[in-house]
Amino acid sequence: MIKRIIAILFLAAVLGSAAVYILRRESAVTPQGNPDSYFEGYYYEPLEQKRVQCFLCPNHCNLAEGKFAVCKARKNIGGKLYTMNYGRIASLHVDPVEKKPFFHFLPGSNVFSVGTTGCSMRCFFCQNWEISQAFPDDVQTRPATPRQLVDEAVKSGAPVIAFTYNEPVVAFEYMIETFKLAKAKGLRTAVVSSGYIAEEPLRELLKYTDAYKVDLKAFSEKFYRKLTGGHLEDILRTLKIIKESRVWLEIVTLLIPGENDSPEEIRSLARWVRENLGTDVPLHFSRFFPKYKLNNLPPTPPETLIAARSIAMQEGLRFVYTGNVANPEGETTYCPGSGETAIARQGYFITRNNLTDGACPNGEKIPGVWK
Amino acid sequence: MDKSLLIQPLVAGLSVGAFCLTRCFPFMAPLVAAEDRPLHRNLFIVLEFLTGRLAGYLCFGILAGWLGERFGSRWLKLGTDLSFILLSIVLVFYLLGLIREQGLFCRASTFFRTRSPALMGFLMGINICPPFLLSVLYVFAQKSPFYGMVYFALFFLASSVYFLPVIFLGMLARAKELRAIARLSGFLAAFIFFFYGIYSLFRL
Repeated sequence: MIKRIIAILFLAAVLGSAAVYILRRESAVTPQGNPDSYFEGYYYEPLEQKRVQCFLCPNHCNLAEGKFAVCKARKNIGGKLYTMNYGRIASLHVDPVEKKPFFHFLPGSNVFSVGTTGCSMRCFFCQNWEISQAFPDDVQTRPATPRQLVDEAVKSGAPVIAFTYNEPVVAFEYMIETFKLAKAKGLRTAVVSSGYIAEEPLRELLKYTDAYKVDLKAFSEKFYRKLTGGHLEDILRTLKIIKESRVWLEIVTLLIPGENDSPEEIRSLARWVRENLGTDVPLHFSRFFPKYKLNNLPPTPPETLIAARSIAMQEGLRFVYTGNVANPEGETTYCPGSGETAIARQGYFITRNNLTDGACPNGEKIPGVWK
Repeated sequence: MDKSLLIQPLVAGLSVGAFCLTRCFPFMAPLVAAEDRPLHRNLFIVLEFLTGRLAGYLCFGILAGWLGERFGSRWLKLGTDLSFILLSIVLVFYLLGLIREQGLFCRASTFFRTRSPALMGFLMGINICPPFLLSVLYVFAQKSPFYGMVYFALFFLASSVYFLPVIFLGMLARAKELRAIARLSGFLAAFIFFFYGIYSLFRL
């Protein structure tokens, strides 16, 4: 009798552990089980032999059946393009708006920040590569519909909801559906992006967006080709369209030693911004720290950032900042006419705000979204 | 080398070791309990299996560190599916006695005759499970074959703690009926994983 019980237990343990393993693996491979539950992507065209072509970003991926796009977020299933990261949150935090960074957009506010997985670029210096270079099934995600997300954002008390951390554009459908609901609930919306997006979806996205931060990663096509997998021209086009749309725009450039930090390149970048976007667009120069595939490089010397700020201001830009470095001058917004302090910051926090409805004590208006 | 680079794989191994055992159990338990052997011989079999598993981890670690970004997840999945199929075949051959001293395949091969637990351990080691996959992603970022090896060696050590009780399963094999059940469970596990591997390989 005892032998029989032991035998049954043994058999159950072996088969049970086999079943547990297979079930766990299956739930990781196909978390939603049924392909019908995936969200069909916008901006694609079905082609012959069940191929599809995606037009969301400038990569224009042409995909055979069963293949993922470069972004690792969109997949051709049975001749239709599906977004595999729809409703799957890989990262969620409430951050200060200054962390994005936005310095002229509701300063001191909290931002309900959402990240999914995937990216249309392959930056060697990516700061969030764990999620940006992953397939949705490679990392732990939690499900949330756009409505659930907006409800959570409202509950958090943050006045802004942002798609950030990985490239938001690869979760285009999820983001835009969320933004529509967020606007209806009175939230502001923000996008923190590389700017690598095709024109038509960008114009659609801008209808529901209040602030857009673009990483202008360098001002040379060579850099973009070598270290990002994107193209400078596409980013510059995005910047112009955002500026025309009147959505609030800020630009960040991460200065990487020996790669994009030459005074000539910084001067060209600042000149282009002045000539094409105007002098009021805030430009942030951010300090690089060794990460991902550029572990071999040193951090950016603070002097490089200070010099870059100085060059950009010489070129006529009025609001140039430094980030990831202790430099009070580079963290402060000044009233351009009087030189008085408008907003003083320390890290991500505001230590003094002298603006009233975006105006300096002398009445001078500072461009931005202040309430 | 940064201390955290050594602590991370140990913590990862300890935290997912129980899951690793669940994964190996359907193959390991029949292997240990299908024949009546003294305890020290079972210890040897488990160690052999674990050594094979270590070899699998190390090979995979070097490959992951060396290939860096070029190794996409779809290739990892293909590797897992194929290793399921091979593992099932080796287990069935072992249970049928085809790769033992008088076995059909082993008259000419000392390796198969004496090293089948190690071979199964190796196939288990290269058989990638989700926590292992996370470790792989981490090693990708380091882009160093040496660190890849160190990482997987430490991950192996920590996760192996959970395998030690399996040695005592061999005591069940003293009863003939239990040996038969061990064999039966081995065949069933091999059957399940073989067809799961095929299904997984060919699905969309």
